[in-house]
Amino acid sequence: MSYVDMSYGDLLGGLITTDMEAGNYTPLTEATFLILLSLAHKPKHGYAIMKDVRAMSKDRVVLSTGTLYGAIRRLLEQAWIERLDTTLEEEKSEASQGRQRKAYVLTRLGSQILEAEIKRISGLAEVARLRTAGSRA
Amino acid sequence: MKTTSCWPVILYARMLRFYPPSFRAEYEEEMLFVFSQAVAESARRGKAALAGLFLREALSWPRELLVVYRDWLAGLVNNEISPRVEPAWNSKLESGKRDPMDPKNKNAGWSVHNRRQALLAALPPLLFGLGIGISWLVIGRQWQSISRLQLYAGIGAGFLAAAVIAVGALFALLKGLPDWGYMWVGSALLGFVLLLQTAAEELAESGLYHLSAGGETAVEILILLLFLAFLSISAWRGWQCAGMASIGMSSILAVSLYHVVAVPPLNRPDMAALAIPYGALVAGLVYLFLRRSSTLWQAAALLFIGLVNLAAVMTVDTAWQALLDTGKPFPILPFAGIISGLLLAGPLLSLAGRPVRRRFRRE
Repeated sequence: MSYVDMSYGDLLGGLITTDMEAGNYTPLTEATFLILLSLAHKPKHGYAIMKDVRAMSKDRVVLSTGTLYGAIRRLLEQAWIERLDTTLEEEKSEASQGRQRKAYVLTRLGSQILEAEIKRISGLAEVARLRTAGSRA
Repeated sequence: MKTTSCWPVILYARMLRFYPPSFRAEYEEEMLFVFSQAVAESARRGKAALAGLFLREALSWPRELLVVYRDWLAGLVNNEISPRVEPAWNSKLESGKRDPMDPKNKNAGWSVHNRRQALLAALPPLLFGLGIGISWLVIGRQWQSISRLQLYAGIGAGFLAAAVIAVGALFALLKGLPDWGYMWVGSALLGFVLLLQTAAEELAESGLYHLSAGGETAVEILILLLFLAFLSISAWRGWQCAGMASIGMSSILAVSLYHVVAVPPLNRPDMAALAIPYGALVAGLVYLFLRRSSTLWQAAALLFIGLVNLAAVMTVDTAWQALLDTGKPFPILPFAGIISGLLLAGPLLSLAGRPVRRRFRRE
C-alpha cells in the first residue's frame, strides 16, 4: 500500500505507535465497542452491524437506526472506520439489480483502539477473576 | 435502494426530514433502507415486534436529533472562512452547500468567489431597491386619486421584493447559512425590524397600539440581542462574512430612506425612484467585495458602500430642506451614524474578536 492509497485513519494509525497512545481513546461506550467489534473481521453494511451488535450482546444492546448512524457519523469523522467503495461479495447480485449498500470497515487507527479496549477489558476481567478467586479460597 | 412503502417507513422518512440537510444528504437514503429492512424482519415476527421497533426508533429520535444538531452548530461556528484560499471548485461548494460536519470542508475556500454565488449574495439590495423604486413609480405623486388596482400593484411590488428577501433568508438558514446567506439574513433581519416599526406606527395611528413602555424596552432589548447574536456568529466566521451581514443590514436601512422621501410629509415619489440605481450600485459593490480576494479591494468596496449609503441620507436631507423650511431639521447625523455603524459593526467585531477565535481554535 502506498501513502497515496492510505486513508486518513490509516495514516493516523501509523502515527499511533504504542498501546498507551491508542489507550488514550479508551474506555469506549458499549455501543461504540460493539460496533467496532462487529467490523473487526470483515466490512459490513449498516443493517448487518445492527444485527451483529444485537447478537453479540445477546439482545441487551439493540441499536435504533438513528443511534447506529449517529455512531457511524462520529466514527467516520474520527477516522476510526471508513466507507468502502466496493460492493461486498454477498451483495453483488443486489448491486447488479441497482441496489448498492454502503459498507464500513475498520481503519488501522480503529483496529488499534479496538485492540487497546479489548486489552483494557481483559485486564479488568483478569483482576476481577483473581480477586473473586482469592475471596472464595 | 428500494424501500418498503408501509406506514412505519413512511413515518420514519418524515422523521428523517428533521435532520440537518448535510446529514440527510449523507445518510438519509441509507438509514431509510436499513430501517425498511428492520421493518420487514420485525413484520415477520408479528405486530408486537413491529411496534417495538418503531417505539425504539421514536424514543431515540429526539436525542439523536439533538446530538446531530449540536455537532452541526459547533461545526458551523468553528468553520471560519479563509479569504486567501483559492476557490474550491468542487460540486459541494459550487452548489452552495457547506457541510460543517465534514472534516474535508473545515478549511474550504471562500465559496462566494464563485460567480453564481457572488451574484446571488449581491441580490438583496438590488431587489429591495427595485421593489421601492417600482412601487413608487407605479403609485406616483397623486396616490389618493389613483385606481385601487394601481395602488395594489404599487404596494405589491414593494411587498414582493421584501417577501423574496425573507424567503431567501429563511432558505439560507435552512441550508445551514452558506456564505451567500449572510447578505440575505442581514437584509431580512433589518427588514423585519422596519416592518415591526411600521406596524407599530400604523397601529398607533389607528389607536390600537397597547404596548407599555416596559414592553417596548423588552422588544428593543430582544431586537438588539438578535442583532448582536447574528453579528457575533458572522464575526466568528471571519470578517468577510461579518462584512456581508453588515452590508445587508446597512443597505436595507439606506434604501428604506428612499421610501421615506416618498411618503408624507415629503411626498417625493420621483426621488424614490433613485432607490433603483442605489440598489444596483450597492449590488455591484457587493459583487466586487466578494469576487476580489485582495483585502485592499474589499476594504475599498466597503468604503464605497459607506459613501453610497451616506448619499442616500443626503438625498433625504435635501428633500427635507427643500420642502420643510421652517420645520424640525432632518436628523442627518444620527441617521448617518446608525447606517455607518451598522456597516462597520460586523467587520470591526470580527477583527476585535480575532485573538479569542485563535485561542479557541488552538484549544
